[in-house]
Amino acid sequence: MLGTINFSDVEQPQSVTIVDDDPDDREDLMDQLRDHKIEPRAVDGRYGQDIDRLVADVLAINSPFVICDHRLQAKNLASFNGSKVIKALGSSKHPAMLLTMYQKTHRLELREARAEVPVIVGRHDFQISQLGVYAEICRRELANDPVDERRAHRTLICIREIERAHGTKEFYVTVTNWRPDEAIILPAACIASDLVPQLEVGDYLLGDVNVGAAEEDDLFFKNVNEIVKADEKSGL
Amino acid sequence: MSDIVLFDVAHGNCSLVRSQGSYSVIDAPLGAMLLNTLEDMGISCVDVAFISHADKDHIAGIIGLLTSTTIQLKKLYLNPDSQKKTGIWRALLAAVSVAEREGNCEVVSTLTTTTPGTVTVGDVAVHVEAPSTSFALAGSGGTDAQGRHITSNSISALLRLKHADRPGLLLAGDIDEVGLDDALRHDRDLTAQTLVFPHHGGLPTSSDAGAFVERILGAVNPSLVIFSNGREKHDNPQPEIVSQVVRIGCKVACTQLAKSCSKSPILDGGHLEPHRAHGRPTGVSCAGSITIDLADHGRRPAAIERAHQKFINDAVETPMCRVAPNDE
Repeated sequence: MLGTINFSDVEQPQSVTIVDDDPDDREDLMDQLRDHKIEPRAVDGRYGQDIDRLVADVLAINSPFVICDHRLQAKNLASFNGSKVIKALGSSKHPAMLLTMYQKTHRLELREARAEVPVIVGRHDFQISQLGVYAEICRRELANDPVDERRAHRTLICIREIERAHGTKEFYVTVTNWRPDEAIILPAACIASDLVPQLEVGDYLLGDVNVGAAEEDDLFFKNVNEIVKADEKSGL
Repeated sequence: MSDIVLFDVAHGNCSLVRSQGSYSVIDAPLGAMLLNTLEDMGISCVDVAFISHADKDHIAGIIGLLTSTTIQLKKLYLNPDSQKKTGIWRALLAAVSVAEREGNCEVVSTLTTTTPGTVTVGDVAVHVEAPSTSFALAGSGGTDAQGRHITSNSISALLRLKHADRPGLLLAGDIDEVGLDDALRHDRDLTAQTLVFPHHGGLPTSSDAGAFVERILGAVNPSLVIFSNGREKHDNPQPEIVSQVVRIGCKVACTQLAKSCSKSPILDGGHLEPHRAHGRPTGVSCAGSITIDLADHGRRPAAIERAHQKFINDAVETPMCRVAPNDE
């Protein structure tokens, strides 16, 4: 069937590796997995800045799927965020999802990372019964066959408002082929650095965006590196 | 093969003509469905696209096609609309600027009965039956010969698709009675086996629904009327439109399941065509995306038609398309 993923056919992974600095949260998740007859395996240790060692430990456990917490610093598991772990695991073609309670408070940070994190789920919304779906979305992405919601297309991004705060600029934009009536914040880090000083309200950017995304927090931005100035538009 | 796929895009229109290795897109709303579908079909070049008129639910996806780096659009026909001050229209202008800058798409800002008049896509002839040049020049915001207000909908292009001499399919955009009168006053031949009903089956603005249905069906004389509707928007198609279509004796197919037909979504009907359909995941597709075989007189393939009718008979509570001829 063209372009559709038959979610009813996906199988749940037999075992899952958990990367979570909080022992209570980790145990809670492990219990949920056991309840669903999925073997939980955990990474436990202190990794500081050594992401390579953490990734090597995860890969050595060799579970077919990984659930990684986003904030790993509070209980000193690592000094980096879980999104970096997902990205590193992706480089090794190992499927992994991000679990977080900071989806809203760390929205922009997650948006910057979203292109390389196929699945982000809030702890409140996480469902073990969907684990096969989460894993399949990740697996397809690593196989260069992303689900429709994760497929990037070159699209116009309209600059609606520019706010200056704490010495940095925040760009309120609309994504033409997603929801042209809903403004979101595009982190400056997602825009080619040479374009940032040129941008004015009314300008358009061109970038690769997954315009099939269901929600704002599912959007990612890549290669935002062309500009159409407001006075450059055709006069049809 | 010469066919047209009318995609279930919810509220909006989007069609893909395929003939002898040539491709044409007519209208497309927001989202990635068109681009994902073209990529999966292995279509890297669209020979020609048409924008029937300047509404968001018809142009937004064409903007994505203009800016796409994976699919080349060679030529685009549309009519200018000086009344349009919307963000989506400004975005279209920006996308046209991008296409002009890249130099790989010819944008023709005229879509009338004389220019281009007829465009061929493989073995399929796309005849522009409205607007006439004089009507288009009066433009949105102007008035017609009877002093009636011309809107963006009035200057919707009427595109009639034919394969050889077989009666094919008429795409009516969002044309209203003012625009339809322009076509009929110029004695345009609107006959077609299948009509994609204007404005998603919404009520016409300034005349009664029954008169409008009679007038357009009288001119087109279709056996099948298709409504490209969205269940969650505007409650289209309107019951008074559908009942009149049925009374006149036409078959009906709606892309999505109207709330008037079924209060609840119906998952896994098993009858949908293997194309993307916006309503499939949530069980709100009725016919879903619809293929019309232009080489077979503009009909739906028989097996698909049967499966859809069985779905309606078996699963849909109060289908509007089953209104008895004498029901009011």
